[in-house]
Amino acid sequence: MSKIRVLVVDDEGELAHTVVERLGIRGFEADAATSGAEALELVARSRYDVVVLDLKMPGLGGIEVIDRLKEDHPELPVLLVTGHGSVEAAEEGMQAGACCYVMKPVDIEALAKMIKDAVSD
Amino acid sequence: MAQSPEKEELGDRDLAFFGAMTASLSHQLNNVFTIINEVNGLLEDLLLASERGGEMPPEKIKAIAGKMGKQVRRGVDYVKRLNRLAHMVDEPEVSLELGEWLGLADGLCRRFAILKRATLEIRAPAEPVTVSTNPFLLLQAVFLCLDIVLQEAGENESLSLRIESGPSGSAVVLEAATPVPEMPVIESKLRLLETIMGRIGGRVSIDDERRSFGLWLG
Repeated sequence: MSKIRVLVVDDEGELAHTVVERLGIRGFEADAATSGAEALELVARSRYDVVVLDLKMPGLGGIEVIDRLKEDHPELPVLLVTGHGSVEAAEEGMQAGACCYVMKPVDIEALAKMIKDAVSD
Repeated sequence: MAQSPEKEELGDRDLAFFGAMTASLSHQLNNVFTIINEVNGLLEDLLLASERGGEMPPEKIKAIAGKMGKQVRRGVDYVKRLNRLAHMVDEPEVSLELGEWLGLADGLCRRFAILKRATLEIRAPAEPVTVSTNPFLLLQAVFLCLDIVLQEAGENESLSLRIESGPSGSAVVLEAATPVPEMPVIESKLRLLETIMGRIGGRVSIDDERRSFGLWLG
């Protein structure tokens, strides 16, 4: 059975790469992107089963990334990650097409379950 | 702390600005804790794996410790900035070394600029420049000035913030690569900027090209 491929997008590179490593330990195949633009490039080049996306990023923000992903990859689930002051923005992200959102700091086991649920839906 | 009788009450706009600044710093602090949480979690994952016979290379542990230390230092810096921001409203007028003040403004202004897809270069003055002013209102004026300059700016707008000092006083000067257009929303913000500067006995200067904005004190 092939591994679930996850793209983790966060402008905090340390965070994105650590989450990638922890997801790898849990049996996922994960890559990191540290900007919205990089995320779109990676999705265009490779197949991913789910995107874990930070909502608030400089440059191309989370909502814009969702909009563009939904244009080219409408079937690709997007899971939002956001800080505590951004619940309204997270709900805006849901309206834009994200499947769900979690607040930082994220529990890795909960994230892993949400990824599996998003892929199986 | 007893309140000075001359202390001006902060209005709604001042409070909104204060709220926005603390929200920005607390957001960044939350990011620091999130990273520490993940890195700590990775350490736990590796420990669990080693208990099951997996490897735990010392260089990996060293790298993780380094990452944690870096984030702790970053977090301490944010707490210091938050504290300095909080104390900016202690007194209506203090003696302020503008170069040092610019260091605090840097952390707040640069993030604002980045989120608006601009780059901001901060140029510290060669010599100390000391003024007597309200640091909170000055910060509010700088932010409003940034907002004005970035209102209609495209991506990758290039900005610089510096201190000027001369016979006509001292100023925080914001320069943009792109001229600021004349339009109602911007003119309205400029009037607000003049009001804020007026509250601290200062004034606003704008060059003919509308690229350089000076916030003059004294």
